[in-house]
Amino acid sequence: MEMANVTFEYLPGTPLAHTALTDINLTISEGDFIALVGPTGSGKSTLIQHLNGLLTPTSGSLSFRGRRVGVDVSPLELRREIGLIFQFPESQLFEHTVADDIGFGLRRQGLTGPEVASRVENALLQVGLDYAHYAQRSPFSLSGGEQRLVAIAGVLAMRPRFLVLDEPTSGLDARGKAAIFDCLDRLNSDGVAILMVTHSMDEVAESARRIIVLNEGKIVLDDKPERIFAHASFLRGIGLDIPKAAELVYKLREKGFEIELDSVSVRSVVDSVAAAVKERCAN
Amino acid sequence: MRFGLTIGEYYPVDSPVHALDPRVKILLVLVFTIAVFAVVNFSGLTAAAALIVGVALVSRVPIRLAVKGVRPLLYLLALTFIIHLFTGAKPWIELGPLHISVPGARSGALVGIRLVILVVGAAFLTLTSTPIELTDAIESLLAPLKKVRVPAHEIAMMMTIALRFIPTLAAETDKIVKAQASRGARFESSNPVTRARSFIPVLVPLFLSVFRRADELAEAMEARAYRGGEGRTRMRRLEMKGRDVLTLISATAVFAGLAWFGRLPLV
Ligand SMILES: Nc1ncnc2c1ncn2[C@@H]1O[C@H](COP(=O)(O)OP(=O)(O)O)[C@@H](O)[C@H]1O
Ligand SMILES: [Mg+2]
Repeated sequence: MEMANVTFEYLPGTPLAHTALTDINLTISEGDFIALVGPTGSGKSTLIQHLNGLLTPTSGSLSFRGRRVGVDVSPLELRREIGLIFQFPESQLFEHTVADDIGFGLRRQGLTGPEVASRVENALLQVGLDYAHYAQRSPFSLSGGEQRLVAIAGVLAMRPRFLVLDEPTSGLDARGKAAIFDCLDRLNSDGVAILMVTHSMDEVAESARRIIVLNEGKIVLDDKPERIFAHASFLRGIGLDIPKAAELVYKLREKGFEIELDSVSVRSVVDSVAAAVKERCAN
Repeated sequence: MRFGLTIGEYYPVDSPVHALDPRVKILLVLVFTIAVFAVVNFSGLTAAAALIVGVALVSRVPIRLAVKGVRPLLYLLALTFIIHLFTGAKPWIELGPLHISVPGARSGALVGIRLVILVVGAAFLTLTSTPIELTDAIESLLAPLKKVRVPAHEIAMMMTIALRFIPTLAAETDKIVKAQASRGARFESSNPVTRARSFIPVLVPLFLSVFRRADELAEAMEARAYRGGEGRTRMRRLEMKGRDVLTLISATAVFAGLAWFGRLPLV
């Protein structure tokens, strides 16, 4: 997926016109795990709505596997390959049963009976919900976290190769968040590319292999997590945090510890810090 | 989903017309309407159109936005004109089997142009006043009717709430439509039954959200001890200033002049 010089303006030609994205250049490859971060209003939601053709750039272009979106490939086709999950996706549930709701997109595609049933079962499995226990219940009788997983399953049932999520963990408790991340990690190891919007840096540090920072509609940083957090003061300046684990490393470095970093997940930071401390003691 | 200004939506700029007391604007639209109905010649209608152009210039609202409101009326206008054309009095112009009435053509054109002028003129009310200003103004204008048990405050509160939630619900609808489209919903079927059915995935979540919002709003209002208009003070006070009174009087005089001019035996 490639975005070239994409600029997007809301309500063009009116006094309320507002340029939400400016000159976005972005390439997303198969199997990526990307976090898109940025302060509120920086254009994250606007950007991801371009990825499956819900919004069309005011200027610039998008292409998917080398084909121009809107020219060689229609938004409808695009949506089969790229699953987009909005913020608070549980508000889109509408069917009588969980299974029917998850199967909605499949039936739209013209699939029927056993094929739908097996894909629904599979999608529930992917989000970690038990088919026998959930399939025939009303989605409105579930907890908020379960509803969200069901809504995500509704998109996964379409078997997208590329999953885009807008703040999938907002408003969930720690267990709900963990359930979402387990699901995303599993999907990614099955080869599904993931782009998730978030503003919680601690979450990002664990899974993402690439972080894109958006500010005022422009991409300001696009790099590996451990390198992104070297810009700690810049990030704080635009209202973003840096993960606690990364912060610890930078503080220790200031105190003269030599710590190598190849990831900012808590586990690898613990390992590197332990190694550095051991070395210092040995000397 | 389509974004953008629709007819008569508030156009946010600073101008003397925007700054005018909304009650004055409502009253002037009423006076203007009466005056335009009194006009029976084309000179008068031309003068009324010139007044509207003047208001457009002073208010810095592109007149195009006000004229947009006429579009839904085009069929009505055409129909009115045709009916006048064929049902009017003599003399007739005979075009084969058709009898076209000359006074009919005249009265049809008068009625049509008058309607356009009224719609365009009234559009400036909503283009230059926020919905909240308008509901406050309506409450204030209806206040004397409280004596005869017209629930002026409740009417205004209902209007305020309805107006307040239009953008919210539009945004909500947009989001649900996009979310369902993202998982394969289509809304453009040519079969009306399929088309109507395709909106179920939008309508069910939308209604759920409307009821939830209504509940939350009611609770929030009760938690703030809201119980109607009696003895309530307001944060935004409408104040009639000297300039507002002056505008009301002078514009009323101008509109009276318009009515008088419009009834002179001119073209
Ligand atoms: N439907 C819309 N109409 C007009 N402006 C919008 C709309 N949606 C978002 N915006 C504006 O575009 C900017 C980017 O918004 P958004 O993409 O939602 O940011 P984020 O998701 O990063 O918080 C904001 O300034 C917002 O006010
Ligand atoms: Mg957002």
